[in-house]
Amino acid sequence: MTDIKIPEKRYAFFLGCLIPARFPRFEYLARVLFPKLGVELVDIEGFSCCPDPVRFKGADQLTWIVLAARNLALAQQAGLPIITICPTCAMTLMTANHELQRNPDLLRKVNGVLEKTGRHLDGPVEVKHFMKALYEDLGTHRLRDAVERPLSFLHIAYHGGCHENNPVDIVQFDNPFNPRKSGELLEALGAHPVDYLEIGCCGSPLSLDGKMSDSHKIMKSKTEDMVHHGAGAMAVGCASCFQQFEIGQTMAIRGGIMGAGIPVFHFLELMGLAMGLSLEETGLGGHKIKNGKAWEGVVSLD
Amino acid sequence: MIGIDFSGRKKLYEIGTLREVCFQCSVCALHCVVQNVEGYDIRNTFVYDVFGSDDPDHHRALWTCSGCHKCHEVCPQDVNPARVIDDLREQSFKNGCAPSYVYDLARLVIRTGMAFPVTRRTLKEREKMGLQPIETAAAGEIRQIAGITGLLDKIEAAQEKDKSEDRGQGEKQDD
Ligand code: SF4
Ligand code: SF4
Repeated sequence: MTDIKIPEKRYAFFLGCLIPARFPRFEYLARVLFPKLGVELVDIEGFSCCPDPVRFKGADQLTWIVLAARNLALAQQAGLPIITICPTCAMTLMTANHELQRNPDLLRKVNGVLEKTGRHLDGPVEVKHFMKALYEDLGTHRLRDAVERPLSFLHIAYHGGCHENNPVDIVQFDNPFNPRKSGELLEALGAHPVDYLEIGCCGSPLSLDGKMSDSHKIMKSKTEDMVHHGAGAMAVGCASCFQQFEIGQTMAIRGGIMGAGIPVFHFLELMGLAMGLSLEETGLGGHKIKNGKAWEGVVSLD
Repeated sequence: MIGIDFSGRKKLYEIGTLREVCFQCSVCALHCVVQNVEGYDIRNTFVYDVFGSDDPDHHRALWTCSGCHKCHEVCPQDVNPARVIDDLREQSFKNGCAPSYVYDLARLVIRTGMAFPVTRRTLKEREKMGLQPIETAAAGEIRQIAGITGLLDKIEAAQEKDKSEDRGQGEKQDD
């Protein structure tokens, strides 16, 4: 196991909601793995929901941007850039930065509200999803150096979801229609990234809106496309996509809509595996879809 | 010579609700997740369906859009359908017409600072992993903010509307 390094990079650790509330294992993995890469994750008291840029934003855009600005102000007060483990949280906070910077009247209005709660935001705060931070701030070489068990048995498709690369001008990470960087990060873990065509949304908004059979059809065609291009598993950097593929595939299989499905891994789980954590510690034992060479390879590591 | 004056265009772009310049090319449907909802195809796309709706407040898929902005990236007219949808949603919420789960979500964020409920099971799981319990220190402040921005009023108005509609239905049944 790599020793904990003297921190070279410090971030305010933004947890969001879905991960601490439903997938605390991913939070745990981030807390264990990032210090091994020389990153210190600093907890900030008072961070709230980012807030949700889909439904909550639709409810009231002003409240949405004020709450996002409030989170930014907390990190600013601590003098730290933000790292998130959810791409959607990062997108929300970056969008708020962007909107407030290009619209000084809006910033004044937002600060007018914030000041009544004793807070203030001065200009933008740097925000990165962990995949972007890994790629840009640490570099693939740093990840490669920390790998103890290369995941060479994995032929794996990365699903970037809705907000890891969109909106392009705000998130400024990779080309959403032909992403390469997530593949490079998978390669750093020793895995073989697989290109495929159906790069769109996982379908979770359809599930949330009660359109289950439409949502299952998306999953079926996406996973079939991945398999067709040679993938035996898929990876995600978003807990909502993880939930959709892990639980959604299980339901679709039970309902006879899908065949066996393919194992889905959160990138942090793969990092844990490659960096020497046991199956139990990565939480992989609790997975529902365990099949094929990918899963055999994972089990053989223990 | 015929001249075309584009000077008004920029302003409309800024507002975002730019349904008029959509020339129905269908490009935005290529990566749109809502296209997977039964009934849409490349000639009858989700975006046209919303833009042409007589009653966007009650549109069947208004709240299904994932906000992925792929439509925005590819639109040759810079319509930004995602932003139009945000604006239409806001109207629908204000008019008390959004699905009930959206009001529940807004209430939950105001009450707890979180968009997902924390179960006892999660708390136990967290404890086992040595993670801190989830703090809701922000909740008081968020409530105060929602009061100032008017969100609390909108939720209350929607609730009142719901109640009076229920009452209305009850009366009809009594007839
Ligand atoms: S891509 Fe733009 S112009 Fe074309 S149909 Fe969509 S919104 Fe209209
Ligand atoms: S933002 Fe909404 S409308 Fe636009 S492509 Fe994504 S799901 Fe479709």
